[in-house]
Amino acid sequence: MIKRIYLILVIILLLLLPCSIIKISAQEITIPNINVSKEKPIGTLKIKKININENLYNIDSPRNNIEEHITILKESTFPDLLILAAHSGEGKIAYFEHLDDLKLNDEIKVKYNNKTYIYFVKDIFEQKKDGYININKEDNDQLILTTCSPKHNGYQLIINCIKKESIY
Amino acid sequence: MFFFSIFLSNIFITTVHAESFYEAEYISDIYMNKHQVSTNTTLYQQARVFRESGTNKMAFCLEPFRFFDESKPYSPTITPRNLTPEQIDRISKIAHFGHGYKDHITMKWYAITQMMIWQAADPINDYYFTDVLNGNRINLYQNEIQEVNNLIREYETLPSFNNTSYTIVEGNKLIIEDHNNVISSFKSNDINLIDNRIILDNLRSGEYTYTFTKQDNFYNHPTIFYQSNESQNLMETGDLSDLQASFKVKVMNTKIELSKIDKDTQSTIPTGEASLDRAIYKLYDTNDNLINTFTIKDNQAVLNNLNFGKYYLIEDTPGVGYTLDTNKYEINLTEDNPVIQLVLENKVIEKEITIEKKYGDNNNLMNEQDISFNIFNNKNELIDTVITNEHGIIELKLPYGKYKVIQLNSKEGYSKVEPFTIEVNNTTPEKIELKDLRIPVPNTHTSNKLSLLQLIFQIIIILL
Repeated sequence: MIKRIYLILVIILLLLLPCSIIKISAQEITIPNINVSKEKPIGTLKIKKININENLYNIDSPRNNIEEHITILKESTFPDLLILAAHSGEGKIAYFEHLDDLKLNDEIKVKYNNKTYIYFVKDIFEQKKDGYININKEDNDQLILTTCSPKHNGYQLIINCIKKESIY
Repeated sequence: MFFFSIFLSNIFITTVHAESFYEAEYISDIYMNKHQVSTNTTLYQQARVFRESGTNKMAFCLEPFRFFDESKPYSPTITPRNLTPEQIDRISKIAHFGHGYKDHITMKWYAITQMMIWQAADPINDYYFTDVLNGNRINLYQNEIQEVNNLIREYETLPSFNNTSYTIVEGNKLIIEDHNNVISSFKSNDINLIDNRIILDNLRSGEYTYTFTKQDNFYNHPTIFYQSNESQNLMETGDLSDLQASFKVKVMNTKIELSKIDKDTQSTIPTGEASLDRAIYKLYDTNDNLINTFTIKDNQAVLNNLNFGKYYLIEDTPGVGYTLDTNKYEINLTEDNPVIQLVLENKVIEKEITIEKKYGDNNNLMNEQDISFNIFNNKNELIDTVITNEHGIIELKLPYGKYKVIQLNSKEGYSKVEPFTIEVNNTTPEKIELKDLRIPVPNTHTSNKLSLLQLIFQIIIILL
């Protein structure tokens, strides 16, 4: 019986460990110009073509977590450069499961602070997965969407988008 | 002239038989004195007419102090030996415009003509009218004398443009006005005369001489002088020799030849994708009147047969890819300088371009040194390879055109920038920032959390 109780405690401890790690990581990322409540969404990402309409959370928020939501990477300097990552594959959090369905010139909307930023897809490419993505910073405001390539194992899919307009 | 020659021939043929003259009728109420200064002798007479025997043509005395002997023969000539050419000319004209000319038909005109001939033939002595025979000097017939002198002067007056040379440019009209108002009394076959003006048009380049002739055929024979060794010389009135006037016209071609070159290369070959052609120029006169607008073609333009004078040439629109030449070119077309060649330079549009190459993540960018780029022109020809310095910077100048830039290498782990285009169509310096970002990303494959839970539950089931 004691042995069983010990095993149950070990299991609970193992279950709690990843969540703690994620919390610590989330507290380290900041985006200076995104300064609202850490718990409430700061905006939304809307890609009609692949049925994405998801909240975005402050870069400091614990909810800005790839295991829960679409994540704003800390290298983002919105609106100059916004880099969003999310899971592909299967499951509830695989928000970018169909990211590879996007084509050039498809439209993507980011709503932030009552303003809608409309982007269009400029480049679609893949890079071998090594924990990084290599991108060129454009002169225009830029949105990067990235996820694991659904079609090529070991590759990262990168969608480079350029801002077309902003609507209040 | 032909007529004149034939006439003289006839005279000399007929002089085989010597001519003779006689003193004919007196002219009533006209008295004349002749005073010889050297001998202080005065001869007085009533005016009396000389006539040729046989024909009864009137004649005039040429030697006032030599006695007439009607028995002596005379020989005709047009070059009397004791008169100068000027005297011959003057006496001929007095006789022509004196008695017998138009309404000068009364006999007083004979006396007036004789008086004027004496004064011309022997001017050192004194001749005058008197109130009675050997009477007192009177100023008789002064108006008539003045009239004869005026007729002579008018006859001698040539058009104001006589012996003048004109130079015009081919294609231009020349209008010459005779300020002496006598051109209408002259004749010419190839002149368009309107009122008092000569109009010449459509003349090709070359030199032309225009001649006008005044002819007087009132008597239909020349003035004839009769000489005798033993009696006073005489003369008969005749027509005057033809009078000629002329002017010259030189018709020239003018040309302004313009050629365009690139200012930097001093070549007619344009730089980059620029074009020296299709530049538009405007030509103004010194009063700022627009004379011509023309376009450069095949690097050149030619303006033919512009009038002599000063002009100013200004570039209105440069060729594509070149900056406007703001110089004002003075052009002076003259007879001595009818062909002007001008080389016009244009500076190609050049842009100073700075390429700044950086790498890192978006929050920590570093200068990227020793990165090479190939630059290709619009024909995909490699025109340059450039390398970033220690500051990650390339500075270069590119002439007008479109260029493709391709990055050749990169730092390890970093990708190259996509080939990009530089378009040079103005001189404003341009800075191109190239940032290769290497952004860490989390694992974006489907979360492993569920698999781990499944694994844990499987372990629990096994353990339980």
